[in-house]
Amino acid sequence: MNRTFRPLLQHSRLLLRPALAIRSLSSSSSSSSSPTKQPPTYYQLFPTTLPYGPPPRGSFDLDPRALRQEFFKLQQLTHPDVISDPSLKRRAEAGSAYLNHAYSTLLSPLLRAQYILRLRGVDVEDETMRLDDEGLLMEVLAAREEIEETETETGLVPLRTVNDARIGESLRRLERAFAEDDLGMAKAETVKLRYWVNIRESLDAWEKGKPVVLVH
Amino acid sequence: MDNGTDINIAFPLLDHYNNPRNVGSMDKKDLDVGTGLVGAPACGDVMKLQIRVDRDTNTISDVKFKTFGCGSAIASSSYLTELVRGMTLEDAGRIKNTEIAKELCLPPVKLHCSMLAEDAIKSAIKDYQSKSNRPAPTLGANLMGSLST
Repeated sequence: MNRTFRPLLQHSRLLLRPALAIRSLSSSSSSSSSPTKQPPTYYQLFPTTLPYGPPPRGSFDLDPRALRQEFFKLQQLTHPDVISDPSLKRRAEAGSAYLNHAYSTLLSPLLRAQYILRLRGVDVEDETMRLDDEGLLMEVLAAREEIEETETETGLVPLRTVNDARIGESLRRLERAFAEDDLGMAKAETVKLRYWVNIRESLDAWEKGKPVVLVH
Repeated sequence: MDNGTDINIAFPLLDHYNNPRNVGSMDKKDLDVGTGLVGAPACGDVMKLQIRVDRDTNTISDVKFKTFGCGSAIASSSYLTELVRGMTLEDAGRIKNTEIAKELCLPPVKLHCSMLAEDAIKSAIKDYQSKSNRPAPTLGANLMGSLST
């Protein structure tokens, strides 16, 4: 075995844990050898790119290229197709799905922020929550109406510029909030980012005269 | 398209999503208009619902909405506009999201869309009532103030 791959392989055992956890739950045997084994956090799966873990120890910002490289290496090692032992195959499939999900979550700043907050017990994904920031609501509505009233593709360009600036500002504030461990500010900013990302999706999906329906 | 119509009749959710009713805006400064603006931060949806109230009968004479969100949120608000037209404010304020969800056969994961619509009508009624209870903060208010003193 290639030396650089050895720690990775050892580390890839982490990936089998979600399957283990599920199995121990379903068998509900009291004699489980590791009753409190938790599935690894998404951060634990990428020790090279994210050695300090989630904020406040690690930073919110990350290097997407490094993350991708580490993801590809891990994926090669744990892909169900490279595992011949049939008893391990199912676990490998669960582990592989978990890895994919971890990667896409960490790669997207919005999903990453939501995930970090979830790790800290802050819920931003409860659909019954209501936005109490009147100013933000008005701004979102105005931005939406501008897109709706746009006649041509080129008319979208200034709207995109404005929205990209909103996203950039949100990411800077999120970085600061997480660095200072200010979870209240991080939560508020994650909500804003959710709206700006939806607006970006609407800009990308824009077709003349067609109302934009969000898919989520 | 005949096929499309059949589908729309069988599935009110699709009908309201494909042909949303009463889309539009009213002048929010109009004292007879109540505006409800609500947002669900988890989904990034916004819903604006406006009612025009007939002062004499205290009933809703016109309704408009604009929803930027998923199909179920659009359908929920569209159906709600049809439901509340002609209703008294009291009755409209008592509408429960379950009525909307039942009519549209919303799946459990989309129940929150009907709750957003319920919140929107409540917020519009509240806005109308807060407007009609206090004198307009403009020239009209000064006139009314000077008349009453």
